[in-house]
Amino acid sequence: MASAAEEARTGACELRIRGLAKRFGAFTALERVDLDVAAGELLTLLGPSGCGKTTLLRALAGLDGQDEGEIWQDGAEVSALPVSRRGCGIVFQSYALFPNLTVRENVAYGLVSSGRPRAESARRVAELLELMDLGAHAGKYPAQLSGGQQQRVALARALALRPRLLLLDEPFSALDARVRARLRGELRSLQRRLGITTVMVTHDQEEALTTSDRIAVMRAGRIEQVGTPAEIYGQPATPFVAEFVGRMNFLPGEVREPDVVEILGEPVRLGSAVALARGTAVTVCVRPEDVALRPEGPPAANVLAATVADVEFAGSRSSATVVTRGNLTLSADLATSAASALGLAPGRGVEVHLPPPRLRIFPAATAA
Amino acid sequence: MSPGSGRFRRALGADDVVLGAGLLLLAAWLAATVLLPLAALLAKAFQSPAGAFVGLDNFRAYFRNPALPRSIGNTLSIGAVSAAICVSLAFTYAYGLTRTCMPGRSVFRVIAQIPLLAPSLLPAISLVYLFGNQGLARGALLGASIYGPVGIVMGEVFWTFPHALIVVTTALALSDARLYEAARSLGASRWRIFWTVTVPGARYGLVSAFVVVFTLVVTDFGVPKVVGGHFNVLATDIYRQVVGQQNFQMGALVGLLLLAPALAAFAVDRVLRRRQSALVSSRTVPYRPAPSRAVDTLFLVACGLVALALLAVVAVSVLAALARRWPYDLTPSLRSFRFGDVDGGGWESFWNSLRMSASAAVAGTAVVFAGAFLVEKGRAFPAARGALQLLALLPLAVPGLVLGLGYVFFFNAPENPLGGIYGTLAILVVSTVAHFYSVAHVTALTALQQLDPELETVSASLRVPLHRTFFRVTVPLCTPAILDIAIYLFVNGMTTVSAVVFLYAPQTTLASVAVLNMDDAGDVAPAAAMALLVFATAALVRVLYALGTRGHLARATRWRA
Repeated sequence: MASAAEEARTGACELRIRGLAKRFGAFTALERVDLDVAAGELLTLLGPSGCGKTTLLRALAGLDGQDEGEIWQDGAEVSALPVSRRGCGIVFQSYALFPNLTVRENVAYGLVSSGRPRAESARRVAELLELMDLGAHAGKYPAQLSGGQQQRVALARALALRPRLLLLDEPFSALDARVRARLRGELRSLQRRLGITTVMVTHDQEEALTTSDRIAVMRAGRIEQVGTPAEIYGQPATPFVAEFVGRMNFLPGEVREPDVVEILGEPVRLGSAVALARGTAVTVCVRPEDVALRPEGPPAANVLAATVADVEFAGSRSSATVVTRGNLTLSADLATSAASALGLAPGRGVEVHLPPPRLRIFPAATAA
Repeated sequence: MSPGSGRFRRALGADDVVLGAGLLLLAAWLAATVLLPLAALLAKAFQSPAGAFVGLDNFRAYFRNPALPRSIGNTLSIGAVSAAICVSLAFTYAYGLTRTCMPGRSVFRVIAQIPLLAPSLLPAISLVYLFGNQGLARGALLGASIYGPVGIVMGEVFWTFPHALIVVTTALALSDARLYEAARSLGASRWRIFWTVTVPGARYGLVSAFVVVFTLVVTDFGVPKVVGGHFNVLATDIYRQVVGQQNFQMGALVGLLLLAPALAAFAVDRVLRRRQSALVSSRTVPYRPAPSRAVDTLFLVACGLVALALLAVVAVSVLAALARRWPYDLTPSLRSFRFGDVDGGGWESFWNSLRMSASAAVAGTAVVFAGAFLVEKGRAFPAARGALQLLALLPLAVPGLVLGLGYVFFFNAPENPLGGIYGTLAILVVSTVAHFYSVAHVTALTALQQLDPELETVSASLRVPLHRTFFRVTVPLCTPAILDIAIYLFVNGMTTVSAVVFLYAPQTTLASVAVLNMDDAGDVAPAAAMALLVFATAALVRVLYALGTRGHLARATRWRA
């Protein structure tokens, strides 16, 4: 199998995007986007629908022209080239397999037109079918395949011409949850083995977190943050990223000292100092899994008194909704065993502990 | 565009060049076969016989004439009455098909399609045999004459019935079962449910069917020509002005008058269809009727009577054509099929019709499908594609007589380089394709819209040229629709009279025109025989198609899992 992957290697290109802009009438789909993708990297464009991620992908593919800006591949500008001269493989959300052609004919589709010798094309197709584990299905039509198999055919077809850039538009959205998780892993290991530069579009944060080398979070035609999955999740640069990736509690506060904010009159210590003037209104963010619930006890630092409003059971984990004095609502995730040890039930009083290293602060004006 | 200009556009690829060239060709085709002939007709209405511009003089002359303007009222009232009767019958029939469990629904569906296979002259001839001066059942009209409004309405109702039925059946089939469940759970009676759920749900369909029938009747020429008697309508006026009196200016003017209600009806219909489709959501649950002995029997009787009437009209022509001398000598004879003995072009006109319809089917399908592909699948030139889409729908609103007359003015003009096709079979093929372009175009468009929009994009990314994907993927995927279009063009080519009646030459007479001329000359039995021949050919093609669909098409499309 390793040899098949070796054979199938495609090469990789480095991608540079500068000041890319696109408008549809009054609607701004992309607003001066800058982005670099390293050779061999899998970068995910993540964002809600309408954020411009698909527009950006289509501009990279050369499907729809941009209004402004430049795209460079390995130091060569490709901004004005049509899709047929960009040398990229594309996998669409619907896969767009040719329904009247067999798996083999689908994979060979681009090779036949490329003018290379028949034997070489046949060898390449066989190689790709082996790589994708589709050998047994070569004579079948797309409608006779499962969703996962169809996706592999689409991938094989996209890779046939040895593109140096692979573009994936929501490649998992047509699959059900269990298949999706397995195929994510397969795609990731295939991409690593082939070492092909890949840009993937998704609105699914879990998909982005598990699959990517880096993630670019987009919102309203702009890139909000680019970083590794751990950076995006652990150190969101904006409240939007904080809320869009994972779940987040937002608490209103005010800076009292460089490393202390006041929430509902209670001092809450932060992990590090913030460069905001005393008295600045801020939003304090904390992930539900970082909120610690404890039995009621004597007053302590970073603790708010609260009442349990609701407990939602989700198997090994449970999610509690608590309301503090002063009517702030927080979600807290904890192991179900811990929840039952605490005897969590609606109406029960608890203490909410906010661990200093887990708190992130944004000026209130920028709140999502 | 140079990168230095600051505003980038995707460079045009080879596919865009092909697409652009194709769109230009399509635009030229639609201009030459639809737009320019109509413009020529429009210009003619404002000219003197010598060709000088005379403003509204022709209109003044028309409205000063004591007889001519009366046709406007006649035409509109015939259209309204026929549409009202036809839609009521079609609604009853469609209700039986979609909302009851009466037996034989699939047989009823087939019988209702029969009028589509015949020229509108056939029911008119049958009516003459049934209710004419020597008719079998002339007493049934209680002294009224079949020649005149009564006969026209009866013939038109027969001929337009399948068109109304398609629209009404679609509207009824679309309604949501959950509305009925909700109404029943609230204790509403069947009668109340009918008036509060069924009728409102189908109301756009009913109005749309009314509009469709009205347009067909107002623009039809065959029925009033045969049974109109002294009752004049716009369609027969055009014919009489042009063929009878050689007054082309007045013919053009009446053509314009006929175009007006057709265009208005077309506009109304487009608006209604949009509303109808808005009523249906993807979450609609289809209605499944429950058996009810009383209701099912009632509709079996009603639909049975309608079906019997449809069959009877055809049967009378069959018997008349096959009898030695209807109704006096009923011994079977093929005497009526000796077309050489009468005027009309003889058997040659039948072979001409076959050649013409086959050519229209082949060439027309190629033009229509390629045109729809260009309009639907291109990404470049959005404005041009939008304009062509509108132009492709225009023929739906243009009566055949008006189009045919426009062809006379446009192609017969001495300075027209395309004039060479005048008087040949080619102009008949071109006019037939243009006349029936819209429905064929919409059929192709619908099929193309069901394909994944990214198929062409994928090919481009694989560096496969657009035309290769068109022939390797798009055409095979759309084979059923392509065959539908070909059959549609063939059957209409066999049956149409209106557009071609001004365009045939002595050596290019057509079967449907021969029916008209033989009937005109009083040779009614040969006319019936020829109409029957057209009917049988169209029916045979449909049957062969249905059989072929089972075998070959199933094999050709085995990729459908």
